Amino acid sequence: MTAPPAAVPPLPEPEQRGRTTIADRAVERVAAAAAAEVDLATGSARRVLGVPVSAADLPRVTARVHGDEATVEVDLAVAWPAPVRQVARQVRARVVEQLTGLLGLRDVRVDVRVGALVPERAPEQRRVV
Amino acid sequence: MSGPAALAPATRTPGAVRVNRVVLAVLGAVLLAAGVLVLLLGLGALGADRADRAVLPGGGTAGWVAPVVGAGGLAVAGLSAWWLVLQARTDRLARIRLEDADGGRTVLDGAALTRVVEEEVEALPGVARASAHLSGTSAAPRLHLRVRLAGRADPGEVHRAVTGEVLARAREALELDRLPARVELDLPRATGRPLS
Repeated sequence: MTAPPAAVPPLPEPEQRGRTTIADRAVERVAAAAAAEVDLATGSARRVLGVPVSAADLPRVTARVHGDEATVEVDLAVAWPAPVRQVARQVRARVVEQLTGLLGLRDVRVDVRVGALVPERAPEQRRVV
Repeated sequence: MSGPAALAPATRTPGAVRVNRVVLAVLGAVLLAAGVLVLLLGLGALGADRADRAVLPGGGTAGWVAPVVGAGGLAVAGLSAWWLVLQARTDRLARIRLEDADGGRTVLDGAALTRVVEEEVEALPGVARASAHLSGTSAAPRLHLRVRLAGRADPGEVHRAVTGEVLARAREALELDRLPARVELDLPRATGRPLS
């Protein structure tokens, strides 16, 4: 086989020209925002010995990315008395959708840990920013 | 006196309870047999001079005595340690595994459920304090609830509210048809009266 008689040598395959890596942090941000979109899921305050020490706004997420696979752990609170399993499924579906859609990940595993059940406040008490 | 103590706290695993019964029964039988044997020896029922002889031939100076006693002591120590460790095992449920699929698993902190149950019960009229914990398995959790009533509460009313409303919501959250619960109502001493 001979090389084509072009002035510019052919480029190698795209996979050999460089690698795209997605930082864990990026996955965590996207997953936290995606999880918060589910109505009955909110963040849960970090607790030390049962005392809340942080604000509860977004679900806390830790993620590990290997190539186009990711393992995501979402730590959140669920409204009481909503069915926890179904809310977790919605969160998982939403997180997978966003991570595959926005970041192009292929295989996403989402573990959900529900750290608190929060009674739903009356609508006027709920603050919408 | 029949207080809340009359209800044994059901926190030990059924296995530990069974082992305790067996160990105590065996221990009791062994000690009883030893006592009867010594009594018979002392009374001369096994031969008149038996009680005056040394326990071991040669006064225990034979070469095999020390290793045998040592091994026996080690065995007793090992079994005792195992028994002790068994006592610490409870069937308290720290987290409920709700789902374990390929896409990920879902886990609910037991404390999350008990905290919200405690808050709901404490919000009922006539309740001073409530404390809850979970036992059993993820598939069949059980709820233990201890409710301290304030002075002039109607225990029947509190019981109805707890079983009717709070436990119904807990079942809804867990998507369970059954959530066996043990509810202890603790009445203040001064106003204590039997449930009709």
